[in-house]
Amino acid sequence: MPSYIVTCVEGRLTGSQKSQIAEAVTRAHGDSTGAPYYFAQITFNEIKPGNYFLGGTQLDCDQIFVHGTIREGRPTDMKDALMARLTADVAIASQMKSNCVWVYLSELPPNQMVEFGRVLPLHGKEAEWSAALPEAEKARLENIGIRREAVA
Amino acid sequence: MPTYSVTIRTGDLDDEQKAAIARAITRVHGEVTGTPFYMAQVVFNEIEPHCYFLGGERLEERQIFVYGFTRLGRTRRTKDELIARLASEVAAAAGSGGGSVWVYISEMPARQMVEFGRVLPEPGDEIAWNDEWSPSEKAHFATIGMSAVRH
Repeated sequence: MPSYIVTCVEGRLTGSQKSQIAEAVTRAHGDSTGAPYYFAQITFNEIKPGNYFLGGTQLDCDQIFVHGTIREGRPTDMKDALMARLTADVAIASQMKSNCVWVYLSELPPNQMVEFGRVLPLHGKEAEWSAALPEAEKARLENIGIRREAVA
Repeated sequence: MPTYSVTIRTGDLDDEQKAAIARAITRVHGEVTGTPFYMAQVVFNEIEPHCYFLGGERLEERQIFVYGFTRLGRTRRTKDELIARLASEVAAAAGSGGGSVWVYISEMPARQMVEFGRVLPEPGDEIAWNDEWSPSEKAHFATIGMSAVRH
């Protein structure tokens, strides 16, 4: 139930690196929070060279900035774990050092978020929300995106 | 410890104006909050002119929309000074060209912000946090961005 915007200088990431970053963010979010993967929306904001500044001068080192907007109400330790995992896994997926990774998490009240045309449930009310979906819509959503591996 | 995105129409600002705005935002944020300059990230988002609307119609004159994300916990007075100075100094840095400046400041808890791979300190814990960087990382930060020394 999140949206993540990944900001990077245009041309720095290959298509394959972007896919790996999107998958890493989706898994980090889904595994840390329990949200189904199909809720994770990730967009890349590619900044033209010359439009990215750090410390008041043009960026001249690697930098990747992940900004997530998630539902309010999750426990602090869950958010701490999510931040740590996002930082580590985005570094790996982007093949950058971890000190090039910036991550921000913004929160919104669930009643101020609509996804797939429906207002989101409060934290803890996900099962009821999913149960209320029409069968066809449930099947459509479950078909979106990567799959969770079967747990051994 | 902030990120500022600056949204404009493509072509409304030249490279010199963008650099001046990035310097102005970095300096204002650093001076008002005490944050080192190297922790200020400024990104320009250029919108195709046919994709930018105001009042339901395509934008007719230049607009500069500054959206900052900062740590929670600063005083009301600090934030008031920050937003007032951002508005006036971004306008001054943009120079002639008319139009208007919009500024939003959004806050989030320090523990929900990672920069340079590390979770940010709570306001007041900056010194201990800085001491945890290795000498080589500190040396690297000293090379980022503009100098804090003013002559």
